[in-house]
Amino acid sequence: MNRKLVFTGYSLIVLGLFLLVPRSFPNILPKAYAGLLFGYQERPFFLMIFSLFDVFFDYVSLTVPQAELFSIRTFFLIRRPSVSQVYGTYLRFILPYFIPFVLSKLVALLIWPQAQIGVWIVFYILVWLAWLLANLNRRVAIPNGFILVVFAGLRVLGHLWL
Amino acid sequence: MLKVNQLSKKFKENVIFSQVSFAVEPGQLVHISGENGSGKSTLFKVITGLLAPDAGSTTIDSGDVIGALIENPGFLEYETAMTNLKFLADLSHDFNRTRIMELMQQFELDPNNRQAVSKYSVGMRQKLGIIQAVMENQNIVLLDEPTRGLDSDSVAQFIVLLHNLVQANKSVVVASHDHVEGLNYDHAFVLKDGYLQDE
Repeated sequence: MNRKLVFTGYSLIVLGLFLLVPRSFPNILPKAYAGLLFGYQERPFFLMIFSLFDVFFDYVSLTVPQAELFSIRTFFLIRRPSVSQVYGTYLRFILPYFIPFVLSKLVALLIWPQAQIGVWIVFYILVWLAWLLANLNRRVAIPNGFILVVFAGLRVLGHLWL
Repeated sequence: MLKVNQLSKKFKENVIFSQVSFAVEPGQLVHISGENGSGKSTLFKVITGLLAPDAGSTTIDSGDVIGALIENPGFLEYETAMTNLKFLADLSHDFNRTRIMELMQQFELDPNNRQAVSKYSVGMRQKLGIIQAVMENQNIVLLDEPTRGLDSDSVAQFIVLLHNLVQANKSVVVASHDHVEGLNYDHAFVLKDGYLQDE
């Protein structure tokens, strides 16, 4: 099945879980609710499940388009595209993954519109783009497990600072 | 016209090839044979700029465009064949759906197939790899082991395609470990022990 569709479906599941949080925890503070999108919660069980789903969402939003673009890299480079052609083509391809990723973080601003949330959103977007560009400029792909560890590490930082 | 001048390449201390020189005029079909691991794919990678040479150079005429199939073709695995070809052709703003459909039909690939390329057989992927190397009217075409995985009908179609390319004044280089029956080469070389020799 087309991975864009699968990813869109997964995005909707994560969004659905996120919207269910206030129903299960009516007294959750806006800061804690928004923080779920950047940190993690190991308890109660439902929040832990959401945290895992959301970390995995960040991970696949990057690794799926990255793997696809890396796979076709040889045919791509043989055409000796200009820098603008490279980024224009990449941008069109990654948008179905990048836009849900960005939107999933922007939701936090609706819940708790504070500057530190904005800083975290910018930070996450920069990390996502940096990973993509770093991997595409390498001859050997960066192992996906390493990327997962970095995203998990970001969650730990988010948990501590938000 | 493609001119390869004294190209050399090694990986660490392992010499892949040394002082390789040859030229391919428009309308010529050239064969480079060699055993597996003899350096044919690496030579193509250097010619196309995927790898930097340790010495020597490759020159093409102004306006020449290189198309190539090198090693196992990699694609956007979860997209359709047409999406893949459009993705590549859009890079050079040269997406010609009619020509691509003709090439796909010539190789008995369905342009409207919604199946992801990851489900394709080795032969189907190979056909797609050949098509992407010629679909934008590239006038220098490098094909590495192009008949790998192709059935006899597809090999026959491949031979027709090469004849058409040569008649259209394209420069074509085929690298393979064996000979394809039915192809008449203008020059035949063998890459052996790192050196390119006349066959």
